[in-house]
Amino acid sequence: MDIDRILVAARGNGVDQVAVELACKIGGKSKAKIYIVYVLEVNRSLPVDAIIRPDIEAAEKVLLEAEEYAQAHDFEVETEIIQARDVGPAIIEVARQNNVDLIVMGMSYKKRFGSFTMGNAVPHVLEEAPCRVLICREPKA
Amino acid sequence: MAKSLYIVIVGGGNIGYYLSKALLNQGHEVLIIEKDVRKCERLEDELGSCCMRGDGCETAVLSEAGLNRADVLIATASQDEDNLVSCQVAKHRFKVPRTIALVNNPINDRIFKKLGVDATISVTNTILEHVEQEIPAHPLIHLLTMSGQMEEVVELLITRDSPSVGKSIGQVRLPADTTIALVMRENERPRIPDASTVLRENDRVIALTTMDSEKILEKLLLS
Repeated sequence: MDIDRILVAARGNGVDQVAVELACKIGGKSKAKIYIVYVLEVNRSLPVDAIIRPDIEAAEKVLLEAEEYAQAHDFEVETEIIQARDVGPAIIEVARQNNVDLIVMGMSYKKRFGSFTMGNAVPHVLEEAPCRVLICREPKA
Repeated sequence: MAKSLYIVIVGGGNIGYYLSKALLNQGHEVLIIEKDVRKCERLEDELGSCCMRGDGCETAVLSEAGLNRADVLIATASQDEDNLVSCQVAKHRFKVPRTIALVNNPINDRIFKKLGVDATISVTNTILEHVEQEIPAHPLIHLLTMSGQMEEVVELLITRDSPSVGKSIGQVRLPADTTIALVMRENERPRIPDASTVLRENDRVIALTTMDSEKILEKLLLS
């Protein structure tokens, strides 16, 4: 299984660092190129290209940490902040554009109405991704 | 290209779908609000992230849809009541500059306009107007409905049996909101009539009237 391009979908949920570490481990042999994307979900009350300063700064911080880690391990890294209405379709779009071989996503442990939930983005990516997908769930608190 | 607008469409049926597709192609930002989860999925598959699941009559849903910055709301649901509520909430709660509603039952057309919906589209009336225009013998033809108003332009054919034959326009007691703008006669140039203009058989009369006065005008001039 050749993995030359890995997409890490950062979510700002505390699992991002683990997701980058996983990507580096998997892509270590082939020295894969790592794309780290942070999708900012923009509320419809704002234009999709609205400048949401605090969110952008938070995303930049996450991407910077991830980029530093990957570069320290000698990987070629590309980072990007994308503003979209929905996270899932945006990740799929980036995966398609860059023809990636693997998507790595972190997800937090969430319950809604007493039941475990994966939210909207993870199921969408699992269903629509044109490549392999690796989901890393954070441990139960 | 003209300024890109934010257009919210309530109802993701065939009209909503094709309308969104056309508007997206024109470069506008479009959001469809649709109750049915399966329709939502189909729309997202086809058009991308431009569908929101919810009831387009609810203020909370419309607020989440960002109606506060919408330029136009188009209500295309299958129920007239839903379309009216969506337009009313959009207009009065979110101050959307322009609301357009699909009217399924033509009787509701007038009510929608009276309640402030900027433009209405009645498929039944549109077909009816085309039928009238295609049948030359039809004595009353709707030529134009003024956008967002109650006024309309109609054409009437004065026949031999019309009660107005031989009478001057001054003698016909037209409703106050009605004006005869033009009288057309065979082999003559169309003329702007005055009170002394006498109506003859086969005259074609162009009148500006209202939906309320249309029937009275028809009765006075035709039968």
